[in-house]
Amino acid sequence: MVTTAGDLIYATAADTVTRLGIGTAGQVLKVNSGATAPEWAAAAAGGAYTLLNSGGTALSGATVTISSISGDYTDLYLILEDFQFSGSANIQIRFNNDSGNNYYQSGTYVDGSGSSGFKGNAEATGLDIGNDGSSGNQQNVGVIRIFNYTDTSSNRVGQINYFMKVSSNSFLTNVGFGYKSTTAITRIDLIVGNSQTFNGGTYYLYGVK
Amino acid sequence: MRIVKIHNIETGEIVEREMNADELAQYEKDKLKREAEKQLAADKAVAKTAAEAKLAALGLTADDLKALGL
Repeated sequence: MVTTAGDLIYATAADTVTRLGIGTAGQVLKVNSGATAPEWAAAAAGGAYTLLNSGGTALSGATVTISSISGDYTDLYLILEDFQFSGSANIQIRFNNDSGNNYYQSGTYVDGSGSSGFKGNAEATGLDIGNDGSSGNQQNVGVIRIFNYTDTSSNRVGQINYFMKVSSNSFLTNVGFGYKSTTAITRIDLIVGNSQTFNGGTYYLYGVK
Repeated sequence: MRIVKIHNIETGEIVEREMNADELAQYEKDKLKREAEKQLAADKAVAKTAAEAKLAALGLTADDLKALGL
């Protein structure tokens, strides 16, 4: 049945097995295109984005908790698409349900009136997205990238970019953030402020190799 | 009534329910903290505007103070 060290045996039907010869160095086991048998194939190149919630998930309620995040990736990339609130509000982001003073962010903003400036917080209890943002359909968008989210030897850093419309004015804000923790991130909370709720929008969470 | 949406991204299971007592307590605590921070920022902005008005009454600007190294 088997001829070489590393050969595998798999079933082709009930009570019927066959041999799969060992692959070559670096190959990974995958299911063939007909979804009928395993086969060896080249490993996917690094840098690939894997969508962890197929089709995206609707934003609703006062708080959205994304839990049981796989530790199989290098970075996480969270996209908040077309998000809206029930009234003027912003979003606070927390990791691992940590409400300690462990969050830092600094960066700049520019708005449609020509104003620009610094936006920053240190030793905060979460990361902010928004400038007491808008309600209604304002095509708001935000992206959050968390680097090395499972690294237990150092704290976390990442980036947040968001583009929001408040009344008739649009704000673009780009900040870097630090999160003082060496615990692998397995949970992200999106908390709407000002006693408001999400009133639309979709989030997509990608794992990045 | 505050609704929390919990999405187990590994299984795809989504649960929407009212916050429990602990979650609600944290939510209210956060809300008060953020309101206090917002008020502090607003107070700073008012104080800055008032200071600028005082400078203007003296014929000075913030750039004049910077030029003096203040």
